[in-house]
Amino acid sequence: MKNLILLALIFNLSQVLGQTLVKGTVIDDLGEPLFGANIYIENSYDGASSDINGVYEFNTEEKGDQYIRVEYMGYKTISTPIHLNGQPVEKQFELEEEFNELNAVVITAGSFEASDRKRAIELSSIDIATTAGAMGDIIGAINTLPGTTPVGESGRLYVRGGTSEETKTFVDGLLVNTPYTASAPNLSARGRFNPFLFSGTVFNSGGYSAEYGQAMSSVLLLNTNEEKIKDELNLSFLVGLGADFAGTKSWENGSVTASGNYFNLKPYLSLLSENQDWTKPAVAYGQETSLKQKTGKTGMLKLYSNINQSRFAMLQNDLDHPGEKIEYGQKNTNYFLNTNWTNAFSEKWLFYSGVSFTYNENEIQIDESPLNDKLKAAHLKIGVDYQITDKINILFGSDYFTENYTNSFSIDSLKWDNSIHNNLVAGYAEANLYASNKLVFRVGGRVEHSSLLNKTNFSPRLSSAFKIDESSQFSFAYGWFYQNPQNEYLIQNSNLDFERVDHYIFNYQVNKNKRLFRAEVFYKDYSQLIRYDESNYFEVDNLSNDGYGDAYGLDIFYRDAKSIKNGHFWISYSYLETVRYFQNYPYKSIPDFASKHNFSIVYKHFSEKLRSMIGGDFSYSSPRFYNDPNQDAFNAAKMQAYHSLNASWAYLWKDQIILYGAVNNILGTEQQFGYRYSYQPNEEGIFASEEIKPFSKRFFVLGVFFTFSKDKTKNQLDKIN
Amino acid sequence: MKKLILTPLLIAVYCIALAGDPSYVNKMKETLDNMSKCANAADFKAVANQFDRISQKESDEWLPQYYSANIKILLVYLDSAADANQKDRYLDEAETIISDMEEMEPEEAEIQVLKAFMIISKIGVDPQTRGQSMYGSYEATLAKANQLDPENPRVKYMLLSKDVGQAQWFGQSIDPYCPKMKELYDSWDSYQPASEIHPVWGKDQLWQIMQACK
Repeated sequence: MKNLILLALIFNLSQVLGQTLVKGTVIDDLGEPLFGANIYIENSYDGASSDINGVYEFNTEEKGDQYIRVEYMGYKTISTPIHLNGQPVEKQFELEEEFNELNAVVITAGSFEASDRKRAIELSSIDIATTAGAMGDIIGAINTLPGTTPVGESGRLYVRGGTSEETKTFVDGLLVNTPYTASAPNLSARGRFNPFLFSGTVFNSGGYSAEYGQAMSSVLLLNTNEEKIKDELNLSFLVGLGADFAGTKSWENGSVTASGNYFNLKPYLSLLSENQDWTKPAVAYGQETSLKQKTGKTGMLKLYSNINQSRFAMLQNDLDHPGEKIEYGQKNTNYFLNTNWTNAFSEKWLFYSGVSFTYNENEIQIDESPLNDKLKAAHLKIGVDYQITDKINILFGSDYFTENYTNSFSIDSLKWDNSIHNNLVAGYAEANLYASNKLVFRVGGRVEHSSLLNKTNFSPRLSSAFKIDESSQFSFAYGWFYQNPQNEYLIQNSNLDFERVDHYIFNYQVNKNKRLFRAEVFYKDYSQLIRYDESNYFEVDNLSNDGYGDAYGLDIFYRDAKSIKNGHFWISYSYLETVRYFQNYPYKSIPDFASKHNFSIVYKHFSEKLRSMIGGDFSYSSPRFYNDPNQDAFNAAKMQAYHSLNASWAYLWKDQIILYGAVNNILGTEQQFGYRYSYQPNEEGIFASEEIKPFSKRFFVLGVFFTFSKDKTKNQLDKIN
Repeated sequence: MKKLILTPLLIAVYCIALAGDPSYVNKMKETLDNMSKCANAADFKAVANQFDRISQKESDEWLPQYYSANIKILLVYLDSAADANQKDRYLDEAETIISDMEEMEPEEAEIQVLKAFMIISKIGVDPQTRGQSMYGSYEATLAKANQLDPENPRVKYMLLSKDVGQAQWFGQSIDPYCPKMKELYDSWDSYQPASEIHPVWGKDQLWQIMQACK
């Protein structure tokens, strides 16, 4: 009996002491073995890694009912009960690939992203800042991407047969009403924003999210830097042009960058302005501030302000009075303030709120006659991103735009003073639905109501992307896009409707080994465009929404950061067919801002030996059409084709000093943007004309950049690399 | 009588059973020993799995996580088959672990050193696009490490390797840093790690970069 008890005890003990052998294989849902999966008994040290055949085997001293867990990077973890009693256990596991938005297919139709963090980027933010021909202008760099037509007499963005007003710029999600600097008629404007303050740029040439409205052709999304920056002072001098001074102070959870700039083009223009007669060469000064502060663990508060004033005056030939000149003078005052707060209340809820203000005033003098316009605008936005499941998230929110626009003039006894006020309320909702890592749909809609038009619109948006393999994918986008008519028309007559365009986009992209190729075809169907019979600045006859038009074409983009050591380049080509019946067009014509073929190539080379970053780019646009009132046909005169070869060189001279030189249009190719004409024909019945040209053939920049920081070796080379 | 014999036997048996249940420190030592024997990427991955198993059991300890993250960063350099995407995946895993550890031990300089190593490795995957935006946080992380434990040789080593790297990048002589490196190398062993399972790496790496000195 006692022996029996002993036996029983020993038997029991053998279970206590006994190890259980656990073995099996780990495969994925295609039956392929997974190498390196971690298989273990929960809450114990016991486990093993699977070998190259997916086979694992280990002994465990745990006993009874336990859980066995299988983990493998990129796959869903499995945890199942296991009974351990000393008898070998064999367990097979089949792991399912984990859905991860970061690795999942991304909708690329219509969208170009320049950022620093993402893997499959089209461009980096530095690419934007250092494109030679752009001279530090974000807009200039975007003009090297497919879908754009460079329009030299304007400098603004013209996307896929759309006017520049059809492109809207947003900073941290909030509308910028006046993204361009003031410029004289027929001279090129620049973007207002310093490219170094922005680290994520998305250029959308169509088919974009329901989050964005009031833009018929394109949205340009600029996001201020979020990365930690160091305390430093930067000074830049541009010979004969001006200077810029910036300081950054950072602390544990935030930083502030403040800069001031002063530009006076007098010394430069007195040497090199061949085509214009300046009475007051351009002077501009401004101040930019960017502040970030983390709030709590998951919040980020950002503030950005840009204050700028500029003025100039120049003589232009009075084509209606040969031999006489008209003085055109302009003073522009612009404030832009943007503040926003993002916070993740939980892993599922992301909240965004922001507000921006714009104040813009133009005081124009045309031969002593004043002509003023003033814009006061605000944009409020609240949005929420809610992750319903790992494969479904919804985005919804609301925009409120308010705008007050006045213009006034007086010539002799004639006086005009008018103003309009518009409130626009919008709501949007959009869902991202992932069928798998390989297939995604985005379905959304946007409703807008304009108080001035007293009209409401609804725009559906739909897009999808399908990954063919690791590196290539298709995507498509469709949507309706509405926009209020321009203020200059609304001020005449607010009994109008929204303008509208429908987008159809199909995109194919391969991204492999630092080489990216994409091709996109698009079709745009315009309706309800603004039409009028004749106009001068003060009166527009028969305003209506009877206009229409269409645009279709092909955009090709190739970027290669692999083939040339220390160098990379991108090539863009756009083919565009477009006609419009709008504004004062007597019939359907090709608009003067569209060219059929646009080509550009941008190259950047970094040489450690020369301590230099050398860049060059070339752009070509086939001839655009313009209207010659001396011809019977409308918009039938052809401009010259546009060519420009540009180069830049940044050289690290001392650790804290960079020398920089750039030339636009090195070859001095004749650049001509059509003609302007007199208002009235002369006695022979001919409208007098004058060529429209840039103010000089070439443009030179020579600069010195200094950086001072506590860390002596820190300099701005990272800005040129 | 038999009961008397049986009781000590039982106790003895149970004691053996308890001793066979390896303590945390022993398990760590054993795993660190395995790590030192790793010959290739697959070995390292298996050891990282071992550290992960320890850390799921010992959820209050940061060291198993530390070594697991450390291996994931090392794999960027050791896994010759890894392309840029794979390297980013290793580093993203390391980053997740490091953020966990930072929450657990916000004042631990070793974690900041590892974080700096992770960031500079991320920059290394694509220096042209990431250099400008991420170098600042690399420097800030090292500065924080230095503030937490200025005497830590790994902190000193990382700071020196940053200076040496910068000097080399700008084509300058690294001579000014050589005496400091020598001094650090000679005094390395005088720093006492907090326990026998705390990090000790760095001396070999320092020796490597010192080879550029005359």
